[in-house]
Amino acid sequence: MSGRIAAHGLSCAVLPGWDIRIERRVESPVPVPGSTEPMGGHTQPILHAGTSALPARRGDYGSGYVELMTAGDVFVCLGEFDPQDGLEDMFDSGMTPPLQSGDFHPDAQQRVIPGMCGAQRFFTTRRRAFGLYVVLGSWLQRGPLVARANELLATVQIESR
Amino acid sequence: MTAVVAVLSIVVVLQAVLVVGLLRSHAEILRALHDLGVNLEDGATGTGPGTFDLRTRSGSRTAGGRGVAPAGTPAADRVSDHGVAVPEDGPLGVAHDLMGVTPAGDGAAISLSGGRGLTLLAFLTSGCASCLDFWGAFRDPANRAVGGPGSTVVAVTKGPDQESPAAVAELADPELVTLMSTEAFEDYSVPIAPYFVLVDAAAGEVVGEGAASSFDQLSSLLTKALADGGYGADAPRSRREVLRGLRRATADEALQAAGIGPGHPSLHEDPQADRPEPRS
Repeated sequence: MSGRIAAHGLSCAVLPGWDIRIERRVESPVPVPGSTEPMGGHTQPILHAGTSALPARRGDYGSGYVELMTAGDVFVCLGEFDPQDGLEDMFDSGMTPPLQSGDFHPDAQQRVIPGMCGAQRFFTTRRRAFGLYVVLGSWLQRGPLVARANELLATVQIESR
Repeated sequence: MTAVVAVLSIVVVLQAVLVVGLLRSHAEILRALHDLGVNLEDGATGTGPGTFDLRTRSGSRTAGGRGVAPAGTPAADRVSDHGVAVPEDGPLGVAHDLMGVTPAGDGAAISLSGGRGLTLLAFLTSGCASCLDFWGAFRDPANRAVGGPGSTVVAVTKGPDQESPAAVAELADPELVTLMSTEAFEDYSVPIAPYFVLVDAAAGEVVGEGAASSFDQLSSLLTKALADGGYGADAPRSRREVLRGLRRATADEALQAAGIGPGHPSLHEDPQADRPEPRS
């Protein structure tokens, strides 16, 4: 398959072997008492990509999928934050550079799964703030898996808001 | 007296031949109906026309005379007298990845090549009466394994230009992977909904397709077709496979698919040895 999918100001190429979703969760119709803000806050776009079938119901950081990953799988999560969050020091300016094997660590997973590893970066671009979270199915074989993640990330485009 | 006995004997023999002929004809009719998905046994489910046809991995078996349209028949013409879509005869094609939007307006791409296991694509609409039975059935997670153990279901409707996303969202269970893509209907030459295509993602090819008028009928047809096609635990093995000890998919094959074969370093190392100290 060739082509790109786009939604909510995010797009990426549809590479063979990747399941991809660009979603924005439904906001609560119930406002916070005394405010117009929805209960639970405003939701933000999120891109999920996995090298095997993504289940319909997943957590923002891939729960529901990462438990099913095999040693050859990769999971990419690009989640947007509120633009105000991007002013904090932990957000780098500009699109994040390609990931390196050294960026990954077993303890960098949201929930540590033995044998697997993760990496996380925060950055701002086009006045939007993002967190990039990548999980590899194998810590021992992370080299080729990092390359696979970078292949997808190189196609990601972010529009201005 | 002898003449009478002889005549009666001849009459009895002729009647016996007639009865055997009738029984044989009856059996052939039942077999043909069964192949079309009609089961007349007491308590049988899924009555009505059904055409699900599953090919072997080699694609060498065709379904001639089993409710399929001749090869080359345009998709729009592959509809039986009962209004049920019928598959096209001849080899089945390669799997096409899916790309479209969800009923919620999100973007989605689903890979059906180079993956694992079987995926049943359920081509449905929000309007057809037959489709309502499938939308309802797929609300039960157990029914989403109708394509065999470990299989998944992806519901596909036409795109938002031809379907109401709100109507699809109302019918589709939130946990059912649902994609709106007119392109997918064209890629898989879907005649009319409901229509089903079974994809072997590991091989990147279509292994079966067809229609059914109810979920129970689809389940019955698929179960039989999967066993005939060599998929699943109940699949029959040939005498050669039995004698040579050939097995179905095993843990060894799963490891091989993950790139772990005999002598792989990960099989001889302590996984904890490479694990760095936790960060402070």
